[in-house]
Amino acid sequence: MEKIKIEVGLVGNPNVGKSTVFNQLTGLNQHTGNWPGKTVEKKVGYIEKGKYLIEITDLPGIYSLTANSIEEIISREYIVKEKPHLVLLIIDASAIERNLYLLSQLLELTSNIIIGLNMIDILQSKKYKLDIKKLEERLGLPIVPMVATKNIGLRELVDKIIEIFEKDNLNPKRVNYGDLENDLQEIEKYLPDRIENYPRRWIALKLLEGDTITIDICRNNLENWLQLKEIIERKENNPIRVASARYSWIKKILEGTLERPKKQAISWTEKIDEILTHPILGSIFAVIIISLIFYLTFSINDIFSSLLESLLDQIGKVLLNLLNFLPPWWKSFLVNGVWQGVSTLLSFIPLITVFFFFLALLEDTGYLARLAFIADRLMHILGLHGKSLIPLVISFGCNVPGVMATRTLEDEKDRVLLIILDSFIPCVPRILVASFFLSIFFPDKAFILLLSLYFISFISIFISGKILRRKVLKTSLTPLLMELPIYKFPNPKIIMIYVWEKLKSFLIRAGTVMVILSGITWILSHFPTDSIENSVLASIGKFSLLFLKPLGFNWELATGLISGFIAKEASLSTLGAIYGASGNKLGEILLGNITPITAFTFIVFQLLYIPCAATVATIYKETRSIKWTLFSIFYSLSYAYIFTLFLNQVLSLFWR
Amino acid sequence: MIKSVAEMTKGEKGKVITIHGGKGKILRLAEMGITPGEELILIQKSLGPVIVRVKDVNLALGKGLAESIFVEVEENGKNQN
Repeated sequence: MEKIKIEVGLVGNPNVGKSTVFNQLTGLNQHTGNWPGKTVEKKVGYIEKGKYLIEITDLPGIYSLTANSIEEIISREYIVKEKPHLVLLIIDASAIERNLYLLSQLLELTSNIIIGLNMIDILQSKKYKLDIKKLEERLGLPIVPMVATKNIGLRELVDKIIEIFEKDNLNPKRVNYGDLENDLQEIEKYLPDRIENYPRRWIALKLLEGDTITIDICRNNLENWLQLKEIIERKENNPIRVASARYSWIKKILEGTLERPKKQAISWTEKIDEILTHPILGSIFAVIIISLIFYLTFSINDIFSSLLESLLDQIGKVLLNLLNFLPPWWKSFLVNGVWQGVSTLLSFIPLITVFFFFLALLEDTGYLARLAFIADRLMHILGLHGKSLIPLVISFGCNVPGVMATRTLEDEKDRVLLIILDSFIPCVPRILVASFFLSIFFPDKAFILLLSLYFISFISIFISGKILRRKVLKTSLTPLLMELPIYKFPNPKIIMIYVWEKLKSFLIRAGTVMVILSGITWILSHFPTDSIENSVLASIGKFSLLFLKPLGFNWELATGLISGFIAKEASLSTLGAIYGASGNKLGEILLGNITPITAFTFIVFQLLYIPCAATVATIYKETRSIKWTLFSIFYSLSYAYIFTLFLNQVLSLFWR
Repeated sequence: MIKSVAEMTKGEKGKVITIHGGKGKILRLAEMGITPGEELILIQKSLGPVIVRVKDVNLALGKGLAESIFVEVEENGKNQN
């Protein structure tokens, strides 16, 4: 029998345990995508119960429903356009006053709201007394008390969803705006019952708040817009009047419902924060934690990846034998091209698993927000947010998890910016290529020049951050304004789901792109004949000299760079293949063929020029935008070209 | 005495009097809990950013924001809570 579908939109402030609720309810029965045309993640999960299939859409964590953030626009459009049967609002019981602010806005869009009152254990430990029955009566909405991390109250929540769906008779109390009611009524006179699915009162409120999208809608739909505009602009402080009116309504609701103790107990969170957010102690702790995570991620990865690599090599050999019936070119294409791509992809499994395990720990315990607070000042120098620290640091190991970690940034533009900047961080393979060249050409100065590479990367991030922010994204650095959630013990189930989701989406979405790119590059380097000198790749290399000649590169170097796109270290093996030598032998040949200035220019160029195929695939996975993916490639290529051209000129003048 | 949040000392309580800045910024602060008339406590001071508690929530505010929120504090109004 076909099940009856109940569509539920899951809404709530950030840090109220909304994802915990989502994961506890749906487990692995969920899939992740993006909101159409946005880089914002969309998660949908399912629960089956009796004759019902409950479809839960996890909306982004939000404080409000303004037009100022994409997350809030997505949420309000979802509610009015998708019209879910129910909106499930998760509220942090220990901060109920602030949390009800979102409810006051939801009430203007829909009546079908169920409140999940989460973290009641924390409310109790703070010795707050909340009369839930009374609150239910005053709001006219069902409330389910729960502790999501301990799986308390979730079954009741599901039962309540079904019960309310069956009864379908919710009739919540309306929000009273006090002094503002007169203004609202005056504005409402000018408005039809609904405009573009939005109710009249909502429109009136949003006009007073100065909501840009609502203003545009009204300007386009109303004939008497100018008169209306006059009324709205009569008072300068209308937005804050609306906000204050909402809080006064909340205060009235909570009066006699919520009782706070006179003397508040000092919570665990405060005691821990005394140290972890301390300017000195907190910074020391942050450095230790980040170093530890970096060290552990890459050392644990080393152990597993060498095992995995030998396993993948074995499989490659077996494949080679199995495919003996094919013509050699095809066999080689499948094994050395396609399978090589697949195994490169699979070799990322340990790294992503380990790193996202740690990141999930940081996020789930609540420490990530403190880290952002501590790092904010430092990151400001680079024109970035405190939250950018982790993605940047992990990128020194590998850009792929670095780009994936940008998900922790709320703002879409900040995220895109950081994704592009991430690829200027020299990952380990790039440093390996650089070290090879440095040790051959500048054995005495290798170390200091290596440091200069890191310096160049910082400069590049700094310059590019400024350019991209102003000219491309047209956004300014929004000042730090972030809630510090309560510390909690990490929940193993939540962490497991988090890591699994990351891994799954990486393998599926980034995987397809990577395998295709690697297949194409193989064909280019093995067509028309098997030797690389006559290949299409080499022809492209020779053609690109048109641009790369001013940098002093020969076609061999250019070809190396092109194959470095697949994996940065591949540029060395390609050079080896072209010159028919490797290691010191290759070094000697290079020494005879190019000047030290060209060598250093090459090192810097390969540091900056293009994110590797795996990173490009991840950028596509994260942004879900071909435009941004291509832009990232285009930008880093042009930046690298201009920067090294300049560098080359300067070096030619001064270097002897 | 009226001063900005950036000038408050750790543990000090103050009542929000006014917030300088554009409508968007003032509204964003209000949504997070900081509205005129509301009482806040300074929990932590760092090299620029600060942490305040307002409406039972701890908020981290960047330097610029802290400088633009003005509060009324009582003289000798230090409070250990």
